[in-house]
Amino acid sequence: MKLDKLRLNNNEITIGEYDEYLSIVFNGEYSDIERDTRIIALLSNSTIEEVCALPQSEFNKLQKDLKKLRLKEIYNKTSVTIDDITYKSKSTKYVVKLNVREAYLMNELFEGKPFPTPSVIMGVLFRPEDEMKDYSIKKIMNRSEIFKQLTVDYVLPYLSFNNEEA
Amino acid sequence: MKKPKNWNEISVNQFIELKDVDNEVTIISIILDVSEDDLYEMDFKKFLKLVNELEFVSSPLSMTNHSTDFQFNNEHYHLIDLYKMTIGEFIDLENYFKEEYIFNLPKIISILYRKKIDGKIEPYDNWVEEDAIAMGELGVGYVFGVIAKYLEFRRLIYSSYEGLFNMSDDEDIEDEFEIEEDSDSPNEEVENKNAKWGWDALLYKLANENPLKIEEATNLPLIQALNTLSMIKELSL
Repeated sequence: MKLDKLRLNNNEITIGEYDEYLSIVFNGEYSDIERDTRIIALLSNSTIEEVCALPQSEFNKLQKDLKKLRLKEIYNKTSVTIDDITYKSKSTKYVVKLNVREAYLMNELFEGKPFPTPSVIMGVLFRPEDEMKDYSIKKIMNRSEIFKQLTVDYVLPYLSFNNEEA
Repeated sequence: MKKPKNWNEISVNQFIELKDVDNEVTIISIILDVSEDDLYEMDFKKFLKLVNELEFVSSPLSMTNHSTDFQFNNEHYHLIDLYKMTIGEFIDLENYFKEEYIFNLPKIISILYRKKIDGKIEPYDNWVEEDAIAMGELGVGYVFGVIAKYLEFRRLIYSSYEGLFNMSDDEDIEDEFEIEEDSDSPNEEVENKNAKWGWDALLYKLANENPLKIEEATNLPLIQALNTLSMIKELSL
């Protein structure tokens, strides 16, 4: 059986998948092979069993392909409309801007976690334009679920946020 | 928005408000007198810069420096001669040092620093409450060190007249100011006995057991009053 081609570009991977990708990468219990197997399954829309059933040479090729994964976005996307609701961040096209509340919230939400969850970062930074001062955790988590369907390029510039600074 | 540069520019009232606060936003809100909501909406990088500019707040307030006099609200205030204070002043200070003395700082300062009228320190009277309100606006850096000075004086008084007092309740304050104890504490039996005595009982003795003269007794110089009380005790008068 041949798997789908690996999705390796910004506009092919969703934020929800990127959450999952990071959870695999930062899981210290996985061996290199186990980690790559899971990532290949994720990025090829396959199951782990299907990846494990691949001939060794095919698996090796996909492992090499994984190295081509280069997620990078130069410009900040500062608003997004989903189901007629426009969500905005305070950033500009070129500058990521956080206010104190956002920085504190991220510190609180990610304290002790191995990595900041991209969908939750989106939930903190992008708020409905008529609720820009609403920082409730419940709404942040609801929004993060909605934002999981967006492509990863929305969140990439915001991952440069230095959690230590907060 | 005026940014203070050191503890001299932080008022006594602000210092009290800062007690037990460890949230940076709340601390800066108190220092700059801006709302926390406004600070939370501030750009985070600018906020970090502000935190850096106000870094002195995270350093301890000097307990050794204090002014002997200062100009405040168009009045000239002087540190009183502790050895010349009355027993009434001493008793009031004792009451203000009970438990959370930080909250009583304006009152303590208004007893220790007083105006001079015709070259003389104004007498102690009922204006303390009123003056304390004004003292709350004084820069805490100018006067906080006087607390350590007073506590050292107080320790000497208590050790000199240990038969009259029970020091067991006061160790916490003195530990905070790292005041060294160079004499043995009164033995337990004496402490227990003295613990029963309140200042009212001592004043009653000084007033020759005449309640109508208690007010008058509070005006006796501290040292004279304590010597008299020691004598009364020793001779069982």
